[in-house]
Amino acid sequence: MKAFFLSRVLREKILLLGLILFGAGAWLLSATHSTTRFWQRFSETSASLKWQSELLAQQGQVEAEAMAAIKYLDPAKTFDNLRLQAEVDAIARRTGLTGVALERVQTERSKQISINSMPMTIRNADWPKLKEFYIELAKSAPYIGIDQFSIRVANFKHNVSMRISSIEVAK
Amino acid sequence: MPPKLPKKFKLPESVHKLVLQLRERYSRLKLGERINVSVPARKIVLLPDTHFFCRAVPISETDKPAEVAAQIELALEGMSPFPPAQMYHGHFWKVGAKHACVFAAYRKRFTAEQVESWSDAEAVLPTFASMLGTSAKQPMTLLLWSEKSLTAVNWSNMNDAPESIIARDLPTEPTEASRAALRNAVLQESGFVPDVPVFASTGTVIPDAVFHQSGESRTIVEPATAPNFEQTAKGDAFTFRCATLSAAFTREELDVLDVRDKEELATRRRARARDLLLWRVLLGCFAAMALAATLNIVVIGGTIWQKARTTRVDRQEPYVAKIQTAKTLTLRIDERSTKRMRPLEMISMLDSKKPSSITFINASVTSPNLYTLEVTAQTANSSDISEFRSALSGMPWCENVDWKESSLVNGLSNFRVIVTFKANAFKTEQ
Repeated sequence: MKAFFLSRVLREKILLLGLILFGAGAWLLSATHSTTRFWQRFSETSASLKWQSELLAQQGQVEAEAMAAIKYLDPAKTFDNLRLQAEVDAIARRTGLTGVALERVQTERSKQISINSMPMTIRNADWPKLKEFYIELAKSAPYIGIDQFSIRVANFKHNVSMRISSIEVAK
Repeated sequence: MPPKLPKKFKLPESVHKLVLQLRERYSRLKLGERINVSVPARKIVLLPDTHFFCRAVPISETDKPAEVAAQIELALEGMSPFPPAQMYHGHFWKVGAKHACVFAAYRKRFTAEQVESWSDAEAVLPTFASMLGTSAKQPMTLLLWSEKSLTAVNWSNMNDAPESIIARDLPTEPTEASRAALRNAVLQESGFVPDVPVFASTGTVIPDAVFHQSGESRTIVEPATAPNFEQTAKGDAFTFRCATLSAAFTREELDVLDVRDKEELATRRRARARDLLLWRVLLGCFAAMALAATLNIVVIGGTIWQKARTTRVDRQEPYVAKIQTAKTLTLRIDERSTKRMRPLEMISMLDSKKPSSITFINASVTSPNLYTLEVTAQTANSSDISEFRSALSGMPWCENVDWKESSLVNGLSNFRVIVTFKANAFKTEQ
C-alpha cells in the first residue's frame, strides 16, 4: 500500500489523499455524532433504570408509609370527588357566599389512597363572609385543605382563586 | 455546424495544445491502461565501472556524515582534473571508518538520453558501489565481471572503505585468453603474485593462473554473476545480490552512493519527506476510518442492548408510576396531617403591622411553600414602605422578608414583598 501510494505522481497523491481525508472526516464526524446521540440515550436509559430500580426497591417501604399516613384518618370522614364538591358548595351556601364557581374534580389515585383536587373561584366577596367560609372549611382539615390560594382586592370586594383538595381512603 | 464562439471565450493557444495532446495520448490507451494501479518496480541504474575513477580518502574517525561530504568535495577538487560541478560523484563511508571511498566520472561520458533515463530511478551508482556494503567479514578482493569490463574491489579491512578499486575494459571482442589475461593483470595490480596456490573462493575461478598475496592474507571472491538489485526486498532497505554475496543499504546510505547532481538529490530528498508526510496523513485517515468503523460497530451492538433496556424501562413504567404516585400522595397526606396552608392568617398578621396608608392589592400562596405569602401592595405615602419594612424585620414569626421591585405611578408607590413565616408562627392562632 505504501509503495503504491508513494509511486503515484504528486497530483494523484494529493487527489487520493484529499478524497480519503474527506471520506474519513465525514465518516468520523457521522460516527461521532451517532455515538454521542447513542451515549445520550444510553445515559438517559441508565438513569431511568436506576431511578426505577430504586423506586421498585422502595415499594414495600412506600406502602408501609402510606399505611402509616392513613392510620390516623377515619375513612368515613374522607371525601371522594362527589362529596368534596358537595361539601364545599354546602359550606359556601351556609356562609352566604355568592359568586362561587366550582370546577371539575381531578383525582390522583394509589392503592390505598386518593387525592381529589378542585379549582374554585369566588367573585366579589365581602371579607367577613370570606373569612367565615375559610374558618368553616378549616374545620374539615385534614380531610379537606387548600393547595393554592390567591386573592385580589378591588373596591373592597375580594376575588379569590384557590385549589381545594380532599383525601379519600379506600374503605 | 456549431456556432462560432467569440474570441474571448476561446482557450489560450498553449492550453488548447495541451488539451489536444492529452486527448490524443489518452484516446490511444485502453481503460485499464489509463487507470494504472500497479506499483512500478523500483529502478536502480548501475553504471559501467570503467567510467569512474576511485580513490580512498582519509577521514577522521570522529567525523560526522556532513563533515565527510564536505571533505570529499574538497578532496575531489584536489584530485580531479575537472571541477566537482562537471562530475557525477558519490562516496562510500562507514561510521567510524578511517577512509572513505570516493568515485567520480566526467559528466560528458554519459549521453543526454542516458541522463534523462535516470530521472525515475531510485539511485544511480557505479556497479561496484552496489557491493561496497557487503556483509562479508574476511578481507577480500572482489572480482566483478561484466560484459565489457572487470573490476577488482580490494579490502584489507572489511570495517573500512576499500583501499583500492581497479576497473579495466575488456577488448571489443573478448576471448577466453583475453579475459584470463585481464584477470591476471588486475590481480597483479591488486597486489597478488602468480604461481602460488589461491585461497578458497566462491563462484567461478578462471584457472589460467594461481596467485598468492605478497602481504596480509586476502581472499579472492569471484562471483559468477554481476551484481543486481533485489526487487523483492521488504521495507525501505535496498539490497543488492551478487551470487552468494549481498549488500544492503538504507535510503540515506544509497543517497550518498548516488552519483547524480547533489542539488537534484536534495530536491528528491525534500520530495521524499513531503511524500512521507502525505503518507502519514493518509495513515491518519485510515486510523480515523478504523475508529469510525469501531464506533459504528459499538453503536450497532449498543443499540441492540439499548433496545432491551428500553423495553425493560417501558415494562417497569406502570409499576413505578404507581409507587411514585403512592409516595407523592403519602407525602402530601403526611404534610397535611401536620400542617396546612393558612393564607388568611398570614394576611391578617401582615395587615396588623402595616401602616394605614398601605393597601394590599393581591396576595397568593402556592404549595409546597405553605408558609410563604407573596403580597402586592400600594401606598400614597412612600415613607410608609420603610416603616412597614422596619415593622416586619422585628417580628419573631417572620423567617424571611424579601422586598421586590417597587414603582411609582400617578403618585402611588407599588411594591411587592415575599414573606416567609416560621412554622410555629400560627400556634397562638390555633
